[in-house]
Amino acid sequence: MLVKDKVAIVTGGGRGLGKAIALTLAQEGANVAVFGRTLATIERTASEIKSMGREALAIKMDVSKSDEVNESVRQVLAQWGRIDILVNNAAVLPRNASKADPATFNPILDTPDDEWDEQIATDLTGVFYCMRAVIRPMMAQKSGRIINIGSLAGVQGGHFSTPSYTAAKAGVIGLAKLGARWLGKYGINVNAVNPGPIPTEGVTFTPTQWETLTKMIPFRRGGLATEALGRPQDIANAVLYLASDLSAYVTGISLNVLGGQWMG
Amino acid sequence: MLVKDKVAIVTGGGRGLGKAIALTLAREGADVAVFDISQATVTETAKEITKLGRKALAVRTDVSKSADVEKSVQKVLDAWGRIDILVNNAALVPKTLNANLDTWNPFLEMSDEEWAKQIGVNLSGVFYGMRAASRPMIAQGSGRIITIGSIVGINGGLFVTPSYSAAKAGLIGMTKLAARWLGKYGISVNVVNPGPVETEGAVYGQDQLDAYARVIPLKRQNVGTVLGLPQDMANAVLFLASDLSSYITGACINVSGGQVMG
Repeated sequence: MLVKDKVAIVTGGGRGLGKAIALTLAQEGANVAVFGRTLATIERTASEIKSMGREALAIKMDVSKSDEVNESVRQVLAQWGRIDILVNNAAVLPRNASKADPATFNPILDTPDDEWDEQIATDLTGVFYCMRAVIRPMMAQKSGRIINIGSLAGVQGGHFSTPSYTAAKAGVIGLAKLGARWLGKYGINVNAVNPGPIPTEGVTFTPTQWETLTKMIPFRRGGLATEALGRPQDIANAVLYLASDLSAYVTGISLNVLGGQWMG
Repeated sequence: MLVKDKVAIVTGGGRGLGKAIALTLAREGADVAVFDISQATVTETAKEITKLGRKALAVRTDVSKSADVEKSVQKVLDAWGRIDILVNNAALVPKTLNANLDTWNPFLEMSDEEWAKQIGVNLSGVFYGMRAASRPMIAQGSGRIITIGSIVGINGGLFVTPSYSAAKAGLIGMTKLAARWLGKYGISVNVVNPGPVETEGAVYGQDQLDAYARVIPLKRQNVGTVLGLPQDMANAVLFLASDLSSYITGACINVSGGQVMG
């Protein structure tokens, strides 16, 4: 077990990537606090964690609200007395991009103010709030792991991304490096994991998009063209690595889990 | 066990980093062929692997000799019939770690012979290994190639020679090309970039240690040095050899305590 008896927080842990991450950490021995806006989904994740024999907390909160973040982190400390791992996964995904036609889509013209504000608030400011809230206990413990979920969009711009999503994801990768630089002296490692487009409950792609993406991805699982896209478990496994002792000397990196879509 | 029953080759596995990698893969369930230029050290590593209850092959190889590499890879195929993991670790490390920074000039002091020797082992050797191992991997429809680069391949380094910098940067580029071309066969190709590591071979001067303390942000509470340990690098290789990284290819993992972020 790679994270036995660690205390982890996973934001946006109710579904998709966040749920895969929360369950993977639990499977490898962690107790997990699942943060999210939708009570029904985070409670489901928490009950799956408990059925694995680990402890879980489902905390309904919005990462874009500073006081809610602080209060939620306080609840985790009240329960378990420490925080070993924070996974900043919660994000609002590009609203219309997954239905867009690559031939006519113009993300800059097509993004209204309210989408910009919502994505910056959740995908970027929310990550900052969570980092700020957990580093105090981590500094006192003299240990901790913070893992930000970035994106291909943050390093290469993205295929069907919006300006706000791309800017926010590039921003959380930057925050990981700044965090690594300042928190290293307290034994806290901060890293980012960059997924590419991954079909999940929340994300679907049109056949045209699927074809476009498949052409850009060199890796084929088992040599199968239908297996070009990533899976939630791929991302969860990378997070597990960065949460475990296997990566004790790794900090400030941005790990591309992209099947080779981008190698920069 | 993260690499149970896999067949691995570790070049330069006789000592230092390579030995830590070979033993880590064996501990996690792999059978390991140890390649090294020194017969005595390969035999010793192989013996320790056998003690862990895994199979081992000790193969004396000079990775800078194409024919040598082909022959050694064939020996592994003859013994075990497949190759799941290739770790290109063998490298000549420049003996410049206690150079006087005020007077040393890595370009002027580099001879043609030294250049050719380091490129031969550190870069051509990696190419020979990739070429020889990718053939059976293509036939299997799977495989992991992991090359030990260096953060100097990214930032140029400070206490190293031009040949070392160029070779390490070169193998990072070659890894990305290989990831692009071998992906369709289900083969992933990645690099682990260590920062300065405390090993038997490396003796650092006080100037160097002071400089490292300034540029490495991570200060670990339970480790008596700001530098990396061989086990840190072996653990990154283990991750890239295991199913945990099955969708990662063409990536560089910097294991440098934050000295190089990327």
